[in-house]
Amino acid sequence: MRVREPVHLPAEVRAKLRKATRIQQWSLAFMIVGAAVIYLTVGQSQAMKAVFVEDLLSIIPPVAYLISQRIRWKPPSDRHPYGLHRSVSIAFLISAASLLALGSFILLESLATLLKAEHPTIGVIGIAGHQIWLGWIMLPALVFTAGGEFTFGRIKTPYAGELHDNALAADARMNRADWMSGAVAMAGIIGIAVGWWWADAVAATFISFEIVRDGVENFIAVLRDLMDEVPQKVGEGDRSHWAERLSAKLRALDWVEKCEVRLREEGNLITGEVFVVPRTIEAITKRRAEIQQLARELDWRFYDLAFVPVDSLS
Amino acid sequence: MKRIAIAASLLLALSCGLPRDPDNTLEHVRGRVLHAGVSIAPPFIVRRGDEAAGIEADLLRRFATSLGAKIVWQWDAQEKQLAELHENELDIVAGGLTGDSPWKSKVALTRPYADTRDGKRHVFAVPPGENAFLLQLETFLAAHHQQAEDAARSQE
Repeated sequence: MRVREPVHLPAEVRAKLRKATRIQQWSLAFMIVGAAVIYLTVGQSQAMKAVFVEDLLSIIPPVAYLISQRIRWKPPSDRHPYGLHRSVSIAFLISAASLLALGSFILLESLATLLKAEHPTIGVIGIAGHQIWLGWIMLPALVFTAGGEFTFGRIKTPYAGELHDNALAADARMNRADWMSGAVAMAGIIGIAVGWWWADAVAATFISFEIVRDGVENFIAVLRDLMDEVPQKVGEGDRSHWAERLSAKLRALDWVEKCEVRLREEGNLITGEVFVVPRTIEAITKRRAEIQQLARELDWRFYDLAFVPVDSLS
Repeated sequence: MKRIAIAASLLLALSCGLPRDPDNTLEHVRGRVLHAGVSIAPPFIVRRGDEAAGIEADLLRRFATSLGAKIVWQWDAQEKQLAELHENELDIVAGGLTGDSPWKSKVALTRPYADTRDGKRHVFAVPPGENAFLLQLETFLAAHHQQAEDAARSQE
């Protein structure tokens, strides 16, 4: 049984989707290289190991995104008659959870350092016979990773908005959290260099609040999403009133007496049911295609609206 | 380009004399006294009355000399000394310490100062977070790596 129609995306959306996937592939490659660079420099120091853990966490969202993009376009099957677009929501869930984990980790780590008054030790590395304080090596490594994360975050954000892709949006927030924590680590190392052992932990505590807040917001958003909340604009509380806008359009049709629209999101697609009290049942079997057409003119995200003609609407 | 040059020279100027110690261990030791906590661990530390001898004692004596400091040996149980080191009550602890010591998150351990034939990574411990002092010691140890290794070999 394959009753669900394939998704028809406008050419420019398909192009953007391909581009977003490409960006995520590069992003993933960069995150892995970045984590390796951080492991070889910063991660060697007990005190700075947290930065390495943070970089490992930021590998998760692009992986989740890429896997979800692979899965979601598989056609509906006997096992999954509604298709697999929800995998995008699962990628969003994983990204939001990673963001929340990142924020909590930084917060707990830095509070523990402050409470125990642990003085961070940064060791020494021998390069070509010179003994160099590892802090000086960590700084350029952090400039590299934070710079990359900043750039990727900036590139992803508009795509997330245009594609209404919450998973991508959460990943862009993760990149933002990463470059901020990288910048904080840099400030921390400079602080440690001048003898302020607490500098790193204090700075990290401040940004961790911001990251935790971001993580909680995203996490709540994904839970709502999975509980079939009405479609929203990405990253905004704005409900966009898709249902109202679609029913206004439908009411303008001469064969529609009354109508009600119920919508939810599947990944970045909008689907749902349209209940109509028709003035006439003539050509009723053609109406579904008509509604579909109308909805798609409103937004490309409308997909597979079910049309339910009824006698009355309470 | 000019701005980068200015920034680089500023960084260079700034990095002279950095890193600094939060508790000024290096400044306190230089020209004064190095408080060394030692415990018997032949051939690394051997007790001769109140004086210490052995591979690590020799290194410590030279290190103190390089800082123009005289050395005060304090004999005690190593666990107690490491706890004191964590509180900055000692400047350095020696006595057959290895890199896999469970204290490595509480105090600052150096890199191994020599490759010994027992295959263990022998290190010194200094107060946590005293990065200037650690850098000074590490630089000294790197310069005396060969001597330490020869001494270790001749003991075996």
